[in-house]
Amino acid sequence: MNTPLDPVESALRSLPPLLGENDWPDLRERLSRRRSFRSRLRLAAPTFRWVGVCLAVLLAFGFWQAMQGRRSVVASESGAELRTWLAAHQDATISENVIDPWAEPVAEATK
Amino acid sequence: MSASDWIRWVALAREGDKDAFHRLYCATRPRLHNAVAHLVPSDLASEIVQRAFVRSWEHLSDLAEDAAFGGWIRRIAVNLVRDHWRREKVSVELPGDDDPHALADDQPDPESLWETRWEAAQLRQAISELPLAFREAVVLHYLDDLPVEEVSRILDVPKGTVLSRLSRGRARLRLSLAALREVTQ
Repeated sequence: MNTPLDPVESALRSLPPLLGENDWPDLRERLSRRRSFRSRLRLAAPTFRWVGVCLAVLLAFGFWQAMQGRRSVVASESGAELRTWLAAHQDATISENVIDPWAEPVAEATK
Repeated sequence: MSASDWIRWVALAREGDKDAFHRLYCATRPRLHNAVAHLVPSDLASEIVQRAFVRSWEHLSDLAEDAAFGGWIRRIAVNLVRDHWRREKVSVELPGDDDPHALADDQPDPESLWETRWEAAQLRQAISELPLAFREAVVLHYLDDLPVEEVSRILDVPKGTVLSRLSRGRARLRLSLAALREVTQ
């Protein structure tokens, strides 16, 4: 059995619509003044490119700087190691000439 | 109009095709105008509808489901309507349940209320006097003929809230129309 429609509801549903007027020329004009997301994106593309290039250059420079720093650290560490090794070698050859087969003849020759 | 038409036109409009957007405008504007004209003073309705279309044009890339353009632009229009009333400092708060004007839906209607047909103007006036939250639900559901689920999506409230607002909106309309009839008789 169908329930009777609420009179308020039926009055609302039968209310003549207010359709207004189609004003496409006005809207078209407004749209021309503003740009779509994609066209704004296209316009901003060169700026984005420049920002990208600058970031890439900065990144490359930072990387190069880091590598330079690392290289000098390695070099200084290597130099220190070499000096230490030479000093140790000299001490060893003086105190234990077995290590250096020429040490004994040299010492005798210089007597 | 089929869903594939909507999808095609939205996709073209997103690429900047104004003819496709014109088709969307022609297909959605009349019903959108009808809804907006019952939510703001009639002289403002056209302006808000135009602004809703401008905003939709600018943000078409945000539309997740192309076939849902109609619901999406209604949500934009409802937000513009709310902005308008906020600027006008009109409260969009809901009246409490103890509000004496909020008649229960099952309250007996005044017998005389249903004897004659209401004039459209009276009904429109009664709608315009509803609190905005009730008016949004009533206009979108009864005047724009949208299902409750769609109204709940547009207003971003649960379905139960929409049903409650519809019920309370109808009750208020019943009361307003009774009062209007008393004045006019």
